[in-house]
Amino acid sequence: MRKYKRAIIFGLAILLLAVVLLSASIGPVKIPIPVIMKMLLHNFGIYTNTSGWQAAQESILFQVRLPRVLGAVLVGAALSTAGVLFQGLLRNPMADPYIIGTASGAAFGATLAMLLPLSLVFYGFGLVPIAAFLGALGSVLLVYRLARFGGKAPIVSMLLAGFVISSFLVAIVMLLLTMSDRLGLRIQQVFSFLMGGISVTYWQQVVVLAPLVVLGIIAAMFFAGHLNAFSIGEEGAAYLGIDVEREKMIILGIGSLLTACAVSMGGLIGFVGLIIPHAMRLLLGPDHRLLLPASALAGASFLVIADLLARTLLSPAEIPIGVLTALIGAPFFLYLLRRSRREYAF
Amino acid sequence: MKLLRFFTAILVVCMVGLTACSNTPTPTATTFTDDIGRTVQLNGTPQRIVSLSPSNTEILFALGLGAEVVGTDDYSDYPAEAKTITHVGSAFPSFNIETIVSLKPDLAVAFGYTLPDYVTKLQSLGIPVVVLAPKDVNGVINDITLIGKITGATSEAKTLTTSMQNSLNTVESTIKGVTHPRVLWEFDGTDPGNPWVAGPGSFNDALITLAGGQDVGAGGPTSSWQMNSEEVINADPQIIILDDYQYGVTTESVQQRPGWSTIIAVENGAIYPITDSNLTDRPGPRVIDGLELLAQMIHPELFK
Repeated sequence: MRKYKRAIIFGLAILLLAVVLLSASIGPVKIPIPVIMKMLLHNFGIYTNTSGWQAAQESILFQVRLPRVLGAVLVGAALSTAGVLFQGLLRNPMADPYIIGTASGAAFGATLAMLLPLSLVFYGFGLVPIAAFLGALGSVLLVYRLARFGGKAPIVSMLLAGFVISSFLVAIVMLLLTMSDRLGLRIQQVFSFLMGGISVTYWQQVVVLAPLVVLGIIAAMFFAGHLNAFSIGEEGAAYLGIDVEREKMIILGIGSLLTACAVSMGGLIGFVGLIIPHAMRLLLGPDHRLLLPASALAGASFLVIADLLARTLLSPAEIPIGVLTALIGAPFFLYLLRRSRREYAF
Repeated sequence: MKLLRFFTAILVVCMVGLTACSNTPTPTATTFTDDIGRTVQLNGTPQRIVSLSPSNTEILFALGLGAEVVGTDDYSDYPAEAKTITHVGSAFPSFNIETIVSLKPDLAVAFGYTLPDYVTKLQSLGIPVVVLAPKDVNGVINDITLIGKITGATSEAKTLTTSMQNSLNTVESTIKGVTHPRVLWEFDGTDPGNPWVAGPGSFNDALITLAGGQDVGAGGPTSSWQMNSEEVINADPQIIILDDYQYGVTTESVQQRPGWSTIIAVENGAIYPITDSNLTDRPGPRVIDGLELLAQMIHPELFK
């Protein structure tokens, strides 16, 4: 059994690597995969021959395409992991990374940032991603504080508080949009953010967010066993010796941090965080020790492919990535759901 | 059966009546065709005009009709006198039909972006609506002539359009025969990975062509679209126009975008912010100033 699990994770990792290379090779300027390998080896000082490619290919690959592809990897992994965490913790099949207010908080922050007639870039980060990150975390914090009473934060209270805070923030965003031009708000930019789209243009974004996402996923894996315990209910988990409220807070924190990282790189990309965990559960069963790493890897591959299609299907124009995640994801998931002999275990 | 015959009779009477009515126009009525092919019927010269777009307001004022304008949309801010006129809402999010009706206008001048529902509604309330939807500078000149005819300001319109036409001819003859450099018109590049650019059919695309340039966004799907940063690098524009200067995008910030340093426009420092986008984005009389400004950016050697 253990061997089988290891094989699955290994297979998914190879798939991710293949998808990343494929995505890095396709674009307005085609770069064959062997050339990419040579360039990478050259970049690490292993391969010294610089013939075989043009300077333009190198600058496009390293300065434009790779950061974006890696951004997609991070966003996909972060959202899928967060999805597993929220679904497991809240024992709610409809839970996604955005369920307790992160999405509306991020949208609120991003919209506010777009009101400012500034285009500052701090260390590769524009105002909008920073505000989205803070908005996402801020709204979860608010929801948690509101739901917490007498040292406990019941799941129902959290879901309700999350719903209300979301509605409230969405209303404010809509109000700001309505007053749009008067405030100098860029409606097109807001639209791109709400529909989602990988907006990683600087290496610094990857350098800063990659460690956060990777650490978040590793931290999540430490709670895999406890998440299994949560599936029998909070009371059951408590009988198994788990400090339910404390663990709940930590898992929520990890999930929200991952989601905040994702929205700061890709806006509100829907569907990934909801459907990848379910697809993995259908294929691999409900054990979080396998589910968490498998979802992270599969989610990353899925988003890399979605982003590749987003930038090439209607080339030279971009399609919002949220459109593609649902367009490819929905039929694929329905196929899995219909085909699966496995009884759906949540 | 009797009943059926009765209804048929009524129907016939009605139809005859309707045909008769539509065949006998009021003696003083004049008809015009607007930019979207609608026939507009007017009884006499309009005395109370509502403008539904800033460019229309500019046209009306330029024709000396400021006194006749009783209402404008919220964004009409030029000339300064226009700001004090009653506001009637705006194309986005909405016009206030009640306010418009309360002004008792005898003409509403709508714009291409005005939702057809508003046009139908105002028309059904007895307010004649003329829709201006110019596609390029010639379209603006034609619209000014049309408004001149409708409002009886024909000589003012003649003076204005002649001067505009002369300026247009000067630009056209100056750029005649020169090569057209590739121009990127950036609407919003605050997300530098996917800047919004001017596409086919946009007023800005037409303006670039008139000013002797070649719009690199012309290959896009819509009049305003998000162009992948890689595609921009690949298209290698020779001139970059920043229509997002008002959002804080500057020449320096464009120079620092990853991978953009190989673009000719960046190498040559041919990145020009538009400081007053109302000159280039508003299809009104001042668009000629915008065109001259743009021509100077694209062909600095020809326009001093």
